[in-house]
Amino acid sequence: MSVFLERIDLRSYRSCKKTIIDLNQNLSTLIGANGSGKSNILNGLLLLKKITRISRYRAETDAFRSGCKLGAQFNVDGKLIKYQALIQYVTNDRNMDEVVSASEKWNFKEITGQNKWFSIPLSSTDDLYRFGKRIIRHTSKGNLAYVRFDPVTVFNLPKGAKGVTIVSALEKIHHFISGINYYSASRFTDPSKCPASFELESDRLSHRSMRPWDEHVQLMYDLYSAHKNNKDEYEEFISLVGSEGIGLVEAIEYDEIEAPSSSYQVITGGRLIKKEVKRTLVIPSITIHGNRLSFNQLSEGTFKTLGILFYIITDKSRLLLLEEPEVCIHHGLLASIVEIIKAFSHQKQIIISTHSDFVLDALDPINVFIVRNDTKQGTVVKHVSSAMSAREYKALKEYLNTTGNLGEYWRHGELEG
Amino acid sequence: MRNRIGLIAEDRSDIAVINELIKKIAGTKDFVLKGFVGRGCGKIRGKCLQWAQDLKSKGCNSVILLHDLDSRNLLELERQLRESFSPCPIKNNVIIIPVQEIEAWLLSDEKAIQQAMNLRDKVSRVPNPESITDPKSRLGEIIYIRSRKTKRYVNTIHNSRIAASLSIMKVRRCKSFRPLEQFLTEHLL
Repeated sequence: MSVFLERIDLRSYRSCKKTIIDLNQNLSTLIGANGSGKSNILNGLLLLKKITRISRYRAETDAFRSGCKLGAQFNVDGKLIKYQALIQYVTNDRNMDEVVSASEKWNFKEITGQNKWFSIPLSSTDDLYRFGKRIIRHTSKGNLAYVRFDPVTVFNLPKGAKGVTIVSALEKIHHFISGINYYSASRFTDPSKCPASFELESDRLSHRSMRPWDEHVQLMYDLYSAHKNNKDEYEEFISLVGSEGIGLVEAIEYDEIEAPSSSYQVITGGRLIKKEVKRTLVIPSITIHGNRLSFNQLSEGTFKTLGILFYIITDKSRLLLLEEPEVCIHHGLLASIVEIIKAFSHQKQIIISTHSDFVLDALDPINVFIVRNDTKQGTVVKHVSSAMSAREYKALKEYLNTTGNLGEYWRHGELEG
Repeated sequence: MRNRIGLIAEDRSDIAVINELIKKIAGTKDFVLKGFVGRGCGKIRGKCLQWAQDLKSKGCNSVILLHDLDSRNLLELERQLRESFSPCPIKNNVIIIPVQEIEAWLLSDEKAIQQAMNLRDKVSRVPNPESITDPKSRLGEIIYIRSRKTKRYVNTIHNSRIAASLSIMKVRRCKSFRPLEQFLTEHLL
């Protein structure tokens, strides 16, 4: 991996009063009691992605906005790059944050040799050299200005090779951040919400099929889309969930019914233009034990496993956040899912939160972080090795070598003190 | 009377692999395999005697304790396991330590990998599977590349499938496999 997140530092964000985590490059697992702040940490990480998509339609004067400070340290090709942002955000009724504004700065000491902070908005670090001219949004006022864009000059970066290295690093970080993805146990619940079919308009999901925030239809469409356009990844997914793999399903098929239709557009002068629109009704079905079923007939666990595995395999992100992958999944299947997560963590950085001692049994202590909520300090996260004294950690190692497993140790209350 | 064999191993896929290997060695002779899964060294060492007693109660007349070497010192691990496994309530017992992991045994037969995983490209012979530090990862790489990146190896899913296609002749290339075959031939079959 050329980029990974080494440290996240959340201040005044929900329960994270001053929460610092030094993450692993591959797999980091957050464990802790309900309400300790695991979900808040994952949501805090998502703020990074949301900064790249600041809504200019949202008034900065929103009465319900909150403020927090987010720090991050990225490792880019072995060089440490520091980032800090003061963020204003609003939280909607689905508990999702929307960033209203951010005041951001970067430190490239390991590249420049100077401990100097540069003010660069994340939203303008995408493909910095691609366009001769581009829009820069001044987030403090919300207005737009066209500028002739030379990032080295605009952001006051050092001239020459160091400036080029910084710009390249920023592009990589932007790519990394914009690909952060999050999947939670609650995302694929209640398969009865799935429609029996969905409609495509010119090969895209039609508005009639897509209800707002309907992730069930999105999963069905993403599966269909991968089946049509991304054969290799789809084959990989089917080989894992099908009879060659965990045997969850025998086949997934898609019946397509084409229904050409036309609509009319009236242009100035009253002239009518006829537009042909290709509509396709897609009826997906899943065969399990010889029975052909609709998605809405699947069990909760089957639907959830299909969703999580599909996105783990096809997800292009470099940082994947998985909340409680164990929910509704039989332990035999869960062992395979944990192995798949471990395998993919060598390709992308993965952070999971879990309440499952079974998941912990399959992990090494090096992958485990303990999250607790302290009345004064808020959410505190410690790597298992630093949450214990040297003597206690040695005792844990001895226990794992001679007596039992990590999950069992946790269940006995020995990990969280 | 059917042989009842007990197996104490690290995970369910180990039990599935050993089951397939015993089938091959036993030929037409009938057997039943009863297992306990430790999911880690500590649990195996801490519980193996108790589990062996339970296996005896279930009628097992022999027991195998299987534990990957995983870069440990072979003699030291053998000593530790023997210490934890004594006095074993089942007279016919053996400790088997695959070097470095049981996946090395699977790597010994390239045709089995190709056939079991239905790979598009030919798999090359792996010269000395027991010299590979991380056989699980190597097997994963081979399957991913030889399937032209369309198949992902997951040990818990695929080990038993590959084991079912293994040639015992080829697995014998792995020294750590031979005591298992010898034990099964002498005491059980």
